Amino acid sequence: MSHRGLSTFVISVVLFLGNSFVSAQENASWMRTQTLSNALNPNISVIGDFVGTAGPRESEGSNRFALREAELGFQANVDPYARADVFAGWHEGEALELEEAYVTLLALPLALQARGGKFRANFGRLNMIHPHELPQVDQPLVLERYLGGDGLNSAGFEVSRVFGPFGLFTEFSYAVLNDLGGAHEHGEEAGQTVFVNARDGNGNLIVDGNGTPVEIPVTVREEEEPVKRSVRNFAHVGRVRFYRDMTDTANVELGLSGVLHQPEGHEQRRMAGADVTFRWKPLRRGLYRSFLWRTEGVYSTRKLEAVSDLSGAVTAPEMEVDRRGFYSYVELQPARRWRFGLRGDYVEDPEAKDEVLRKADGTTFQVSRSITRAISPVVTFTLSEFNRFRAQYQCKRLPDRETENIGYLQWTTILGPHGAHPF
Amino acid sequence: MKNWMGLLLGAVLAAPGSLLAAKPLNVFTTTADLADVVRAVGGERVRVESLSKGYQDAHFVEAKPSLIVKLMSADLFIQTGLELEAGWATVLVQGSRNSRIQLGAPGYLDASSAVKPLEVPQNPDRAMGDVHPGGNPHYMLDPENVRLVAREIAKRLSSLSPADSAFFRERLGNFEVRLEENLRKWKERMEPFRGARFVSYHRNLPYFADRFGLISVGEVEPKPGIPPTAAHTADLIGRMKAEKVGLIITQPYYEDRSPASIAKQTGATVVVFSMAPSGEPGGSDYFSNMDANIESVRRALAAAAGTK
Repeated sequence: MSHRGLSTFVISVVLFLGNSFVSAQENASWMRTQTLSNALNPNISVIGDFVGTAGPRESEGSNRFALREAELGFQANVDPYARADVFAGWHEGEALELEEAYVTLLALPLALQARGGKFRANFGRLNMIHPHELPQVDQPLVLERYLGGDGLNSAGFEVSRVFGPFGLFTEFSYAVLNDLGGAHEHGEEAGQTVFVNARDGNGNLIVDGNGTPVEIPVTVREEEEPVKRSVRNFAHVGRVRFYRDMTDTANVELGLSGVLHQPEGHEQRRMAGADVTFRWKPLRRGLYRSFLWRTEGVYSTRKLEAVSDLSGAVTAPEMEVDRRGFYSYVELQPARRWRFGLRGDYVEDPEAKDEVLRKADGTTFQVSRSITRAISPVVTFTLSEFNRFRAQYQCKRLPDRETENIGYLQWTTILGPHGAHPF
Repeated sequence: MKNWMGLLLGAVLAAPGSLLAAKPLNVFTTTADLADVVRAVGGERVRVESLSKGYQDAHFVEAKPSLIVKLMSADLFIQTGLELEAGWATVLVQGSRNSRIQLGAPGYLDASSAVKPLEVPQNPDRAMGDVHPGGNPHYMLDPENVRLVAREIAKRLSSLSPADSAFFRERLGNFEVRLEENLRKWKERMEPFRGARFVSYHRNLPYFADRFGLISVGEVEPKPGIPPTAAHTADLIGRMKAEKVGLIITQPYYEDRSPASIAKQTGATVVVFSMAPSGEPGGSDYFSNMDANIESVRRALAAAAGTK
């Protein structure tokens, strides 16, 4: 290589290195700027809830695996005064749905806290808990039937206050909501034609010669226009919760809840609920041992509108039904990764009347308040704080005295920052 | 008469000030070691309580509503930080509705802001186990870090109660002198064992090991937060035998079976090391707790040196 050639080569290398150095500095600066700006982004989490169900062939959703939900969560402080929580869920076969989006005001006077937006109402002990965090694979039957598959979840405003008289934790909350959510809790779309049991003028079920209930087509009504709403259309949800440590390792919690929703031209509902929880967890070895017992009951009064068929003829008159249901479960943790539970369910159909059904052989039997009972053993294996497996068996005795056996397998995975441990 | 009137007037004017000065600051800490430092610096001008016991795993404390009631009256909330209390502290602080102790308020102190964390992962990933993206949170086991935290606490107490700042400064000075004396003593006692190897149940002793010249060979947990597995335990036993490790350090909140089984197969001694005061009998404050821990470690290492 000549001198001139060598000089050109050296200059080129220097220029290249110089450019690279400047570029690296710019990159580092750019990356630092990006990292700093990202620091203020909300915490993002993704939770996958994968469920396999085995059961009667005729049951919807049976004998298949399904991504029950992929939940996307965004959580951050808005400013020194408020925090925002947004959760969107994708359910298999459905579009992405906004489940909750609310802002909580943290710095109100008088120990008050308020939240506004769309949220799960503070009713009972489990309504505010997302499905993947429930203690069993499925919702307790009374909550599914009385509060709807998605729970009491609507847009509104809630205010709560905490007191500590004599060290007793006492929390009051009151929310005013657009409605109770889950209006079409069985998954029907407005305008869709669905089949319902036909009833006579007294509200009794009409059966065919074989004793099978006669079904008639009805159209799911469109939601009422907003302009037609009055203040009566708002739903009101209240709750009071008491908590006390019995010892350092045992505690008890009691809650009383109520719902009032008496809209014009809609199904009217009043509900009262009571729940009690007992927990035991040793301080020293709490990682390995715990016990929990929880019971929750709901009393419901619904004023049902008259049902008419497509021709407009009334097939069931307006009626008011009082129904109740409860669940009770225990959960024992004998080792770090294992939890064993057992849940019992009792639920009366919130929309059914007492009725007499006739079998094909002409004999009759009474269906009293359309009661469903179930017993569900469940075992949970926690691989880590971010990965959990669960198996559940459910033996369900239906109102028609048939028995339904269902098996569930659940795999829940959490991606993202470390969240709060459930309590 | 005029003198009496003057005395009376002086007493009336002075009363509100003395009443205010007499009211101690309400301080709540997440762990017992932080509470003890606050007690040492704040003296009778603070009323301090730890939300967890010394023998509890500070990562898995339950967010009990009874703790929310306590925080409702707090003037100052202090946490270890670095995600040690990620599963419960925020729930309690926000649940207390106490604006004095919310994040960013003068009554909220993350003590980790005073120290330089060790083991900050370059690319944190859950495949590494339950890692702490901000670094290892067990920095209170290094007395030099305790000195930095005590200074930060004194500063914060002074800003919340400026009238008592001289009092806090004086007590901080006394605490630092005592800390210096004890640190010298602990170093002397551990000096013969500089370079000794040990295994811990969880990766929570890097600060302690750095300060006293111990070398960590591994953990009973295969990865942070992951329970021991047979394959990992067999591998660990092999390494302990090869490197002649005679000490296994565990905590009161971990199961005994795995460390005991490993000790049986390697001849090592298991030491229950308390992470915070009152964790084990004999460790009622920070100094006595460290005394007890260092004495246990020293004895185990001496026994191991004698037998190997």
